[in-house]
Amino acid sequence: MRLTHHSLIFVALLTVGIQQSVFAFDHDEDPSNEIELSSEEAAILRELEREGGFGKVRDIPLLDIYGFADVLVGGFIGMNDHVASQNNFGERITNVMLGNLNMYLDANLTHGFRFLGEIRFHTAPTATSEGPNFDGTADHFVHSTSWDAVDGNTPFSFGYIEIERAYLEYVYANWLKVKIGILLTPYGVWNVDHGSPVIIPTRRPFVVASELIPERQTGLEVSGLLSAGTLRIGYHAYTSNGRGSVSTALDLDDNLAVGGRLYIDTTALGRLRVGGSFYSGTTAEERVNVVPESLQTGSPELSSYFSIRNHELAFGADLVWKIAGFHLQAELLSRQVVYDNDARAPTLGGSTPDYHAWGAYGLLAYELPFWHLRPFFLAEHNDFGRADFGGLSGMTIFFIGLNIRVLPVVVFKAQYLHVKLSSNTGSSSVTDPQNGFEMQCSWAF
Amino acid sequence: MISTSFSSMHPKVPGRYAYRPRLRFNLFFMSKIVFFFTVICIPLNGYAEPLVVIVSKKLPVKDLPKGMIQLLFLGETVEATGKRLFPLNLSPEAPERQSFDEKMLGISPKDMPRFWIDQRIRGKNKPPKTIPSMKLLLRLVAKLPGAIGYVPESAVTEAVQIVAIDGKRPTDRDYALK
Amino acid sequence: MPKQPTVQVLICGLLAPIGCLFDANDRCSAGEIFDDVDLKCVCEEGLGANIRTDIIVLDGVPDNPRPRDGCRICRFNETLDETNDTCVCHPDSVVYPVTGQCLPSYGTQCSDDTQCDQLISPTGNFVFGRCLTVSTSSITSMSFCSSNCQTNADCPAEIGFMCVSELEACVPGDEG
Repeated sequence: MRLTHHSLIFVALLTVGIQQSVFAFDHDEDPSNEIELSSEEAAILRELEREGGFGKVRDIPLLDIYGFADVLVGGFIGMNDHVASQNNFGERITNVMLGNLNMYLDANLTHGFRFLGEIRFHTAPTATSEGPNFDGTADHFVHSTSWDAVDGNTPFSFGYIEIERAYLEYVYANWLKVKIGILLTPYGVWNVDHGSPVIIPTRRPFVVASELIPERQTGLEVSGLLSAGTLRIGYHAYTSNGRGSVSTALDLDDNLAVGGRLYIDTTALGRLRVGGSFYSGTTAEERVNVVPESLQTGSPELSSYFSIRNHELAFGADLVWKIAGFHLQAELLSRQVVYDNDARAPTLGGSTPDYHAWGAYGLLAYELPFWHLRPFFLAEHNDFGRADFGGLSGMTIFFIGLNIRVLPVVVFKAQYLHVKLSSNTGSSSVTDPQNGFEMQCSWAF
Repeated sequence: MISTSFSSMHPKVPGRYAYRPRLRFNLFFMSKIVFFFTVICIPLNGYAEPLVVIVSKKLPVKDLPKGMIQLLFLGETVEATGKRLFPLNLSPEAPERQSFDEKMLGISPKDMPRFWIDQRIRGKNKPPKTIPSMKLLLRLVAKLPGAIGYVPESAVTEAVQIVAIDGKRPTDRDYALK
Repeated sequence: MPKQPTVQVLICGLLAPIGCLFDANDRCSAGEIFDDVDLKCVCEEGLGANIRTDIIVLDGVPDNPRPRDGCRICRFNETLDETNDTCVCHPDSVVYPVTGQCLPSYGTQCSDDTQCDQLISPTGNFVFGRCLTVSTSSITSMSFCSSNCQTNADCPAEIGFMCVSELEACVPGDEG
């Protein structure tokens, strides 16, 4: 598992390969060297150079900015107190909330290099709930309010910015692409394809959202696609800091995570894609403390240890089949977590056991031949493998709804949810079924 | 059959564009079919002949698999004989483009905007560069080794060469762009 | 021990060639048992969690409860808090700030050792010869008469008290 040195060697070899490739491109393959161009052709050629990434670098690459956003209306009906305490929707059904406001920064840097950044603007922390905490402080909504000094000190609500992904990609050929940076983990269907316009229901299934495989990682990925007739075989392999509260910047236990994905795509019978993924890594949280004995010496010393550390192994399988207007999609995910004996995650009155969580969902949608109407049905089951979310051990959700692509850039969705909860305590106050209704408008820009 | 009667009225309209099933005997939909044939299909008559995929004569590529051409025009990177290919598209309104999208990529013209918007949201590459006219596309393909495009067979000039698809020439019965 | 659910068995069976980390029969650390109802690891009966009492400089997950480090028998001046699965100080004890140990307090505040001289606890279990500054919370510290000791010389041997180094307290008994 300790891949640090191997990764460094790999990066070094890759860098040499890229330099050689760029060098060759600069001197041998500039198409403008040997042709005479009209002014119109020259203008198009310059655009091609910038967008397509060939020829000499003459200009600063053009940055494309685009994105998507969505607004959700809805909530749960008749929510019990237990679930309400875990979910700030409460019983309100008329919540209107900005779900996503995501902006893409995209630039072809020529010579096969491309930068892609995606940032999400949050209204959070406003309206997120905090607590109840282990120190006994009560649950409460967070208000992120400040005052605008240049506008009469009027109040305004500020929010967070999240980096969804930000990476540099180098395409050597279609069978070899390399990315480095913050990456969406390549597994399943709706982790990388996470934008609300391309997701059929109003939200991703909880199976995906609960990150049985990490949603994103900071590291290096190699991928490619091979084609033979109607069959395509794709692969992804990556190494990263893994999970952890500071994993976007630090690998606390100096132990890189690894993962990969293999998939087959065929157009022989509609469009069928079947894939399998895995992730293996450690999660560590560090605590630095003063050595008690050193206090008496007058020169305090620091020591550190892992307050939480575990090893995990996660697998995923996915299938997408589109044929004659039908869209069948399913994902199965499994996550095994084994803690170091002296670094289990503490819980209230105990510690977290080793666990094996899994979840799966299946979606069936059909696009009617008019108005881009797409009714859908989705069922998912989650087994947390332990007590989680205030004592729940599992959750089954049924979605039934309608997706309407009113324009290529605008999608309306409406869905009804029925949620069945399970708990090992057998308390009906915890497991009363929940029902919800949500509408969403999502658009690309 | 409705398709037969309309084909007789517009003999050059390919039969596949007729909405045969479930619409017959419905005057409202029949009026839509008339509109469809008039506005959409008649312009397609200009390339009843097959489209052909072309590259520069300087590029030593004689044949490409259909899967590779699909990948290329769907935003993936493709190399042939060690050279990176860069696809050139005609404008979305061009009947040749619509025919190419449908026959080669399996995506109808009405679904194409949605496809590319979804691809961008997924973080994939942008669509191939659109060239405003066929004449310009032919000149660019001729001059730029690595450029690849498509035109009706009759428009092919001396400066470009036709690429076979899966070993099939335009005259072959099961040529992909027929 | 609970039975491993069928789906997990199936997944592990399918993945056997690659590896299966999880063992349904070994989910907790030594000295812990799996709480079948609440699905967490708790200390075996009669034991309390050894809660780390570090002076924290940097903490990755500060909102979490303090980390545990195995389980242990509650000490002489501790009692088991079953709700929190930990050993806590007797109500008449206070936490010594450096080691986090529970030291018996006579309940009398003091300012120097002379005020505690030869003071014996009501139960007769401790002798208080020192005035110690202790923490009663993270921000408050007070001085109480305590039985704290380092060696037997710190305890009044003439009335049958010795220093137990583990407790750092003078308790009745003979040396050794």
